[in-house]
Amino acid sequence: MIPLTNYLIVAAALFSLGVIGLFLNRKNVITILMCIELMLLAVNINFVAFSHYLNDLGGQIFVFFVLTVAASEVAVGLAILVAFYRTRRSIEVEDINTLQG
Amino acid sequence: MANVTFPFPFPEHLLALLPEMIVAVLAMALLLLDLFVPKEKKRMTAYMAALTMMAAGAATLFVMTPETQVAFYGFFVLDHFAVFAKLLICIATLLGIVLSIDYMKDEENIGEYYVLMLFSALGMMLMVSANNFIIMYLGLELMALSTYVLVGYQRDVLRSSEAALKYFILGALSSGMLLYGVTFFYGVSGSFHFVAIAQGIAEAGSSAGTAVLLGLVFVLAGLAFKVSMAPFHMWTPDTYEGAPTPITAFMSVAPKVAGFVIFMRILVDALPGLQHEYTTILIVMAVITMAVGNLAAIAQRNIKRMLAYSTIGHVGFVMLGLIAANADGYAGILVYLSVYLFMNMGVFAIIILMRREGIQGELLDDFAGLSRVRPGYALAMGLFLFSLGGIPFLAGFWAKYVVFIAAIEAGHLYLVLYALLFSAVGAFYYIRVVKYIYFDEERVAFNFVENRMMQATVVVSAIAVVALGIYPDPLIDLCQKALGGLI
Amino acid sequence: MLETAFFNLFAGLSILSGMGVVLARNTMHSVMFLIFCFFNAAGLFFMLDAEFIGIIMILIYVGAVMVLFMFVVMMLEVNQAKLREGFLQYLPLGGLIAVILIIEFIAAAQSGVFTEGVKATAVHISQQVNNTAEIGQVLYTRYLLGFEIAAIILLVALVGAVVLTLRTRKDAKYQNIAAQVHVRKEDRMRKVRM
Repeated sequence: MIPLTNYLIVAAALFSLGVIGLFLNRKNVITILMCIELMLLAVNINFVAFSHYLNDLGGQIFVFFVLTVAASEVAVGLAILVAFYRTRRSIEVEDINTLQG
Repeated sequence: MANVTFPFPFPEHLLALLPEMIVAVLAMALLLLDLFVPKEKKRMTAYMAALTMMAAGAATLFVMTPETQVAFYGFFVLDHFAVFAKLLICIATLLGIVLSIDYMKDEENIGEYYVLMLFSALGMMLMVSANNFIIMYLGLELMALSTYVLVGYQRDVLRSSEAALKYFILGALSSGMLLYGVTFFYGVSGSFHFVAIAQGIAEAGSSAGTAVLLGLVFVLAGLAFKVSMAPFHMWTPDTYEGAPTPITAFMSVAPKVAGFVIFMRILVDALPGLQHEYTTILIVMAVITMAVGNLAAIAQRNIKRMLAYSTIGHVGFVMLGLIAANADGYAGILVYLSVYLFMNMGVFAIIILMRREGIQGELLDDFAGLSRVRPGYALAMGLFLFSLGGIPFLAGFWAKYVVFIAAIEAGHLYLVLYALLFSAVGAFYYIRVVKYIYFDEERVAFNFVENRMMQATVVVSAIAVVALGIYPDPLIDLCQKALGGLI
Repeated sequence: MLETAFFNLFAGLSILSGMGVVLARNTMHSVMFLIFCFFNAAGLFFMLDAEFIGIIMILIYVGAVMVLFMFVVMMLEVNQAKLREGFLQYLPLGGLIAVILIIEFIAAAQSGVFTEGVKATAVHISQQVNNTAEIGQVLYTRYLLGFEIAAIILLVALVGAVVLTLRTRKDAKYQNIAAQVHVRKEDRMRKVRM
């Protein structure tokens, strides 16, 4: 039987990879969105692992909601990105500098 | 695992959700009805949305009972605290809709704009009634998703979609952090209910120390993003500047109400055992927030950006109530949020009324000489700005007074002195705008939107600011009574 | 023994593909790595007796969300080289933060509550228990309110995405059927006195 800690460490590694990805890919919005997905995946692994070890279904239900919300977030986020690309012809975040000062 | 017996009982106290049901059903009906409204009569949609918010506010008062109601198998709570917050949200959304009618009339697909505003309000109303992380998270996301779209609604304007993109990325990141924190609370307690989490943390004791602390830090960071506390405020100035002005007005008030209310609920219900830890974190954040907000506001030339930093500054003052962590502090937060609603909505109404072709009355210079052209607006603007600056005997002064006194009671004298210093700094940049209005020469010809409803908003807000400034006791009493559900 | 081997396989591959997402030069490769990562995470979910979540992870995430990502990557002409600028510049800072985070997370994961007592190890539930049925039983009863709000969130995402991206092109000529049907004789015909 795998101890709970192992799952938590996998999730921690994925979450940290998501954070480091946000720093490294500061210019590419699509990769930033994928890094956020990676962080949410870590959240989901944590929830399911706790749900199993606590013998409580609540965690899995929460994962269900997190998946729903994450899918909606991706839809809205990519729509915003497409709208941005149409006026700007680029998806670089550091291009986002009309608003400064 | 699941021990559910069928037939499962029908949800109890369903009536407690009447305001939410009204908003949800009417918003969906409006989405369909809007298809049949001809293009030149799109104002109808706005009026119907406004009526929906009025109906929701009335329904909130109607379903209020002296005792706390728990509905939907313990997932929804309606107490006086939630009722008060819902009324503020309804008023803020109503004013936001009124401010939008003229500003957004040239956009295409304007019907969905009001529908999204209603859904955003629905999310906030659910959020303030949450007593567990599931409903809180879903309400938060409903609010946030609608707001991302609203910020980017002027999709042909580059800075609008840019603002939406920044807001979206940081918002999604913050909810990820919030969730990661929640996982640890769930792991320790096995529940999502705030009260059960508090029990779980107390039972686990020191064996859960690191996990609970990590959970606390991440949950605080996630919530701090939503109410723009420094160092998680980066999105605020850009988003405020780029969003359509009525949306800036709306999101400078309503999500802050929802955010602070759920903040109080989580701190009081779920984390009483960690009061020492969270107070330390909040003090550090409040010190940064007050400094960043008030100092950066001085350098701004654009009034929307200035008001964004001013919001951050005010959030810093409101945090004193959270740090005080006593009944007076929490009541003070409610007083502050109610007063802030009227002051800010008033200022934004005047900014929108000054809309001109191309130049939208956004730079501070644009206000030069306003007093000579429209003494009425100039007077109202002066009142709002003085009130925001905390000049005595206007509503904003009492808001600050209440939270400062509560923080002193809790023994944070030095923090209050620090806050007073930055309050003085804040007064400086508000008064600078008044200087432009009254003492500078007019440069460009003014051009005003004539809209009775927006003018009424200005008048109502001005009366509220003056009346509460002279006689604040009823509001303070009301806020103390509203705390009944929380403590 | 076999279980440990599978855990190591899924966990190792998901972390490796997570690194791939972050480090890949081509955005499309990142998308592919993320898909692979989701498959491995689904494997972990199966090992935790969460079959339903594992399956919707594959169906919804890989089947819908990642396809949406791919679609957008292909639709927007992205200058790959330019997007990579500044990659190494932030490596020290990002790396430092990630190292601090992971040390804290591992410390948290090894808190007493998670390593001792009943919570540390759990037995697999018996084969008679149907995870999907169990989730259905609580989702539509106890968690009904959340389910309803999730439905509204999906509606908002739908409306929002359409509002932001739908545009009627002004240069294209559309047929307005309602106007055609409602046209009256007076609009089109004029009596001219000769």
